[in-house]
Amino acid sequence: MSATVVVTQAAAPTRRSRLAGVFRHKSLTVGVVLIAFVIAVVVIGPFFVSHNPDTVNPNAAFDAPSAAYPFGTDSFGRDMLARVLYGGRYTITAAVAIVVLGGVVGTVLGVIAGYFRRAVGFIIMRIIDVLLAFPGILLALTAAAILGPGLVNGILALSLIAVPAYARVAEGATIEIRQLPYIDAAISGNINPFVIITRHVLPNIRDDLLVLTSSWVGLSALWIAALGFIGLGVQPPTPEWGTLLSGGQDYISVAWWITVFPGIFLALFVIGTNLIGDGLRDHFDKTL
Amino acid sequence: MFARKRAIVAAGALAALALVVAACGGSSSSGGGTSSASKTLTIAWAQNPDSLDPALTAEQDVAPVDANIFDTLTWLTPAGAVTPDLATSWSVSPNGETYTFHLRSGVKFQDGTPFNAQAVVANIDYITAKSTQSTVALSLLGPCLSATAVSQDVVTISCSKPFAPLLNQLSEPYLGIQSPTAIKKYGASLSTHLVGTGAFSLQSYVSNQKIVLVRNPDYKWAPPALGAHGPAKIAKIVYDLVPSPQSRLESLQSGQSQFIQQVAGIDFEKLKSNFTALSVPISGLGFFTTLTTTKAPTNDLAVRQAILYSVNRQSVVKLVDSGAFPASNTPLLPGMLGYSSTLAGEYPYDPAKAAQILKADGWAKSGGIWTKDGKPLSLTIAAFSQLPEYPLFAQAIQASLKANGMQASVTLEGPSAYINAASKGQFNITPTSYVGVDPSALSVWFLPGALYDWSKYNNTTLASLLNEAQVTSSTSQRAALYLRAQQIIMQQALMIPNRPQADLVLMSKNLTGVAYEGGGFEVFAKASLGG
Repeated sequence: MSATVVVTQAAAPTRRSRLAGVFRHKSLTVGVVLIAFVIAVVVIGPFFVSHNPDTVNPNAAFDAPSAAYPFGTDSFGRDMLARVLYGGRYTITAAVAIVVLGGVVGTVLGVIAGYFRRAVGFIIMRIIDVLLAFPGILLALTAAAILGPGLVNGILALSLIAVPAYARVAEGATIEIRQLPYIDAAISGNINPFVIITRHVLPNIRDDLLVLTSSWVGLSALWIAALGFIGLGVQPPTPEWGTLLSGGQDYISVAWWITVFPGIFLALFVIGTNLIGDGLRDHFDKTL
Repeated sequence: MFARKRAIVAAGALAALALVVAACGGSSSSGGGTSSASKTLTIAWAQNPDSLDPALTAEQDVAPVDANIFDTLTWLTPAGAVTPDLATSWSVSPNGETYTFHLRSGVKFQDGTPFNAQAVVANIDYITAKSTQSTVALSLLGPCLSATAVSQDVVTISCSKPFAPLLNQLSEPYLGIQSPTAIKKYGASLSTHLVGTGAFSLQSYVSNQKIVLVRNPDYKWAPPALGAHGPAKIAKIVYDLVPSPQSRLESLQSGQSQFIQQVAGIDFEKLKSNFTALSVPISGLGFFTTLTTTKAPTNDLAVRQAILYSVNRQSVVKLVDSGAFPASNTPLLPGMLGYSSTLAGEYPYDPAKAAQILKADGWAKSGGIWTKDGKPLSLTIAAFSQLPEYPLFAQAIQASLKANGMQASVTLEGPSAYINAASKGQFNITPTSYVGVDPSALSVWFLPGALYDWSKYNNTTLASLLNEAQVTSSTSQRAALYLRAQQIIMQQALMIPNRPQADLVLMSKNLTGVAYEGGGFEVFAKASLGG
């Protein structure tokens, strides 16, 4: 118990200086600012929007951006500002859920395969290879077609793409760590594999997973939007950036605002996560 | 690639010249006919065909293409009159079960096969053969499933019971007469080797890309009512398959195409002065919404009636098409036999009446939602995802229902999943549409066990009315029978009428002479590209 306290105290200043170092990286700073902005707007914004995103108003259809409707209205007279902000909640939450679900399952499979190797590792990794053999979106479309359209099913289908990516990285990193002498020592000391994995393996592969996660959050947002765009994701009238884009495509010449605003937000979010991913990769890469 | 670009530039230059001439007040447009002799008409067409074979297709958008490749025995004018086409005259036996057709002589198919009574027999045999698996074409024949060649120019079609809609329905492109040689020769691959007697012949068809038709140089047997003489003026028609309405619009505006269809209401209203605008009325049941009587809670008559009172039909149509169409109030639309304005006043938008009906049925409002036995009134709506109107209708209806205390969820479905779910009654509410030239369209939707019996309402009175109307030859009696059938359909709240259907078409101003057949099928036999 007391040992833990000592460790925390000792680690505190180093962590702070590490954090400062991180922000010296330009793309990382820009990415964090972008993501913080998008998330803040999406989380807090809806409290300041007076219109309900689903309220239909035939008399206000296709209104251009104005003081009453800063982002204009869609073909049903729904407030696009409210729809974009609420839509962001669905898109971002779904993206995070995909990464968490796919990341946890993939990491567990990868670590188990990398740590135990032999038959267990072989079987797991061959299954992962089969999943990797399919183009990601095709795999997700197949799963979504089998499960049926919907947000939850979309998340399940898309996490299936994330699983092999995480499993691959986790397995590679685990094999590397597994060969280090102190792990060998721990194993010969008859320490429980679960303890070795959680105490020694996971902390060592954390950086790799963090880099992977940052770019996959953006990728997942794009994918859930793609599923929504083709009608397999969130079902109407629930706003989601992909469904908003697809709803506006038929009117782009008369009402550009229906597609442009959700498009801008989706782009900002994806660019932000990618910049963070880039920055983290540079930061963690010891060869640089 | 280059040749095509040059052609577009040339067409653009010619169009500009035409505008200058028109602006100068010159009215010498009579020379347009001959100058289009070598012209290609490019059309941006919305839907990729399920099959181009008229006997196989189940899609509305295939029929207008087939109408240019095939002729039919009869021709329906836009006003609804049955006139001669490949059959010059006909008679019906006193018992109404045998139709005798006298055929036009001197007609030959695009492959040289002569058109005669044997050809008609071969077509009826092809459509009715089990192995063909015809849906729409077969349903249009009703009980008239056998044909006999009496002589070279006389053919009889026999029905197992009288079938009044036959003459009307023989005019539909789904019953276009195909070359018996092609039917025999190509079998399963017939849909890419179609041979008819029409003004254009099929040159090539690549799924999801384009359909190319070329002029039939021998064509001189256009239906008299169409008023076309000799071969078509346009040499070639290219249907570019462009599913996105926005891309179709851009292709017209950029001059890549001279004809686009299925224009969205808002674009049609906005651009109709810049182009030649044509609203081709499509007869049938228009857009409407079926309510399933076998799935809770729409198995309850009170709930169905409350739904009809809760859906603001005017508002729904306005939301979906920006006011380009009026709302409809009856199952059969104005202009069709059996339409009656007496039904139009039923189910006005009346949430108070809906509330009264639901209360009497044991529902109570809690938290703004109607509930019964602790369960909320929750409805499911299926929407066909590939055409933009369907999801819009679904959402507009959903909004109306939600505003009146009914939960409703929309699910978008692809083509086969949509038909499958609706046939099995898996959703409460299904927006749809149907094309047909005869009021017997009602039988396809509301006769138990019929092709599209999605409401699954099993009632002997309605069934016998619909059956009787099909075998009655007196027009006034049929109208009366269909009126009674519609009264039951509305009283039982089996469907929500939405709006009449029309194909909103925009054409470049140098394209003239585009005609359409009754039912709503665009034909180009006498069209010309001026400039």
